[in-house]
Amino acid sequence: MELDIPKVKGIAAKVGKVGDEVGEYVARARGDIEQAGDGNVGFASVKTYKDVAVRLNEQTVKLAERTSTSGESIATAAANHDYTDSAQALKLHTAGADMAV
Amino acid sequence: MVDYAELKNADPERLTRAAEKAGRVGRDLDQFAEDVLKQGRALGGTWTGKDADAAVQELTRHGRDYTQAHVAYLGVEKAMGTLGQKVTAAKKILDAAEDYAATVPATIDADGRVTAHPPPEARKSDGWMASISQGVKTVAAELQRALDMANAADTEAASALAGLEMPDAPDADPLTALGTMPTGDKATPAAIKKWWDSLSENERELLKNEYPDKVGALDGVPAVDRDDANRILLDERRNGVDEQIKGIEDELTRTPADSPAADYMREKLEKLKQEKDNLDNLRQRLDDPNKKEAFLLKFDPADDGRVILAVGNPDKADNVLTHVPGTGGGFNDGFREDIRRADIEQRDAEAADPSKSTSAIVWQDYDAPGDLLSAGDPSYADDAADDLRDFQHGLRETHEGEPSRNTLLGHSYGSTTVGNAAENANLKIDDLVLVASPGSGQGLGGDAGDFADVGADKGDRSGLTKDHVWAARGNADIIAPISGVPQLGPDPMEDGYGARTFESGTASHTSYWDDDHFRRNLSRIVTGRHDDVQEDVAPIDQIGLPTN
Repeated sequence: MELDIPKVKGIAAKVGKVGDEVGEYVARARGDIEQAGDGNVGFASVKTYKDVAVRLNEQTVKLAERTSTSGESIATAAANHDYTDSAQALKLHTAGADMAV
Repeated sequence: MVDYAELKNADPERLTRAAEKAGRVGRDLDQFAEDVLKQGRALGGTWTGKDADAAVQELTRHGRDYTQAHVAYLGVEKAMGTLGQKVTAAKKILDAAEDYAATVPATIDADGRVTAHPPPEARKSDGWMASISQGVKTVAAELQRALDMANAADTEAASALAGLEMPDAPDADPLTALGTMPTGDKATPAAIKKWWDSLSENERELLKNEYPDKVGALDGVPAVDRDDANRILLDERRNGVDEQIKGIEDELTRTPADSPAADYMREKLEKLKQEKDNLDNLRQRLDDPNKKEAFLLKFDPADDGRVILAVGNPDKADNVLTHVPGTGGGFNDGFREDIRRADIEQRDAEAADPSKSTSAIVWQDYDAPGDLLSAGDPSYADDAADDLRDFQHGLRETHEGEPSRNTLLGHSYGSTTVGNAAENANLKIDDLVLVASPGSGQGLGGDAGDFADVGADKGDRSGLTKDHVWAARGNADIIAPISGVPQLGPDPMEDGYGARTFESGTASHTSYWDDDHFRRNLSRIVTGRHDDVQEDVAPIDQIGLPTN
């Protein structure tokens, strides 16, 4: 297994940022989009439009949350590998010192 | 059902606004999809193993979900935009009916009932009363027509909206879609177009985002889709070159400056920086809002680099010019100048006929001879023929509306390439232009009349008669004495060849696009103003060469 920890952490941060940005962006756009078709009484499609807009918005927000979580998970995985490698290095170092004695 | 009062009070501008807002969110989500997929690809290069595979898969899934959301929002845009347009049209009919009712004279009540109000004197005239009665019927019929239109639009929009795939729907699988793509001999531009049309919007988006290298160069895929895919490839290459530059610069700080390794690295660095500069220049042209919109129809950085760039959308243009450059070529050798020439050709043609749109394409999709020494070898032209044919056929397949007027131009060795291709297959072009030609790419006995019957044996005659074969050579072009070398075919400027030669002023081999005569005449050929082309009557032996 190969792992470039600083790069993976950088990617994790970027992924998390995408999730956060999408979440904020879609939340901001929600009101605007939902009200945009108002003033057209009697049109069945306007009701469908509102339902679709709400559903699309909710699904996209959930997706954004999942992306943020993925970013965190990748960062955690990289940190764990980092920790394991450090612990492994420490062990080796200690073992080496013991042998030297 | 929408009734009279509801249609009267409807506000189609709000429907259009809803469409615009959804479209904006959709387009931004496409960018987010690309961002996530980009990080997924980057992750694959920095982490390997089971955990890495899972993470990459997860990000790929997210990318697909964002793409699904993008497509759904664009679906909303389309449904609401169409509804807005149709309701606007229905209201216009309603307004016109109301205006007409006043002249009958008749009134329309809140429920849309039409009542005649004949003046007292009209009651004495059967003809007048009949006319009023007919007027009432016309008003009622027009009101009904407006209502029918609005209701049909309403039903259509509701159905389109209800049918949209939400981002939580099962992911479309781009690999399955790719598996249905025609391959080998079956992958004709017509078959590719049919296949592309058979895919869902979602599948097309996923293919562009996840397999841009597979769909970006496919003849038969529309220009806008090829452009989407190739821009991803271009940006990936730019990022890759950036990383290589940083890596070498880092390495150089740790390497003794006078070592052979440092020399090697500096040389490599120089080449990479030059490539980066060219890549940035291409990206800037694509993004330049002050110039005609450009479309990247192919981007393959391997070897010398193969690029096809269209200035103006060839799928929508009335006139389409494909320009095949000659010796040198390759993305890193002169493509910047090729872009400039395409810009000039496009501008000139639209200036020559402002009522028609023109797209000018640089087709740098063949291995052109690297230098003059290898320019006597016809194999470069032979190897390009099939690709050039497919590209021309693809233009016909993806074009929308009335067929465009298509011109194929080859400059220098490019003229050998286009002549060779046109002699071997019906390219479905309207005009062929050979500029600064070292030879037309045909056999030595060939002439301008030979192209007309190409394809006749397959029932697909090109019909490119010699009055549609053009040739030009400037008075200061040094190609004159070597044109017509046996390997590259006859000199198209010779009288016996039979092409229509046109005035190119004092252009040298590389300055045609700075010569007013050449540019003016080319623009007239491209736009079909053949009678206005200044034909060149100068005998061949008067072509000027430096005498001292």
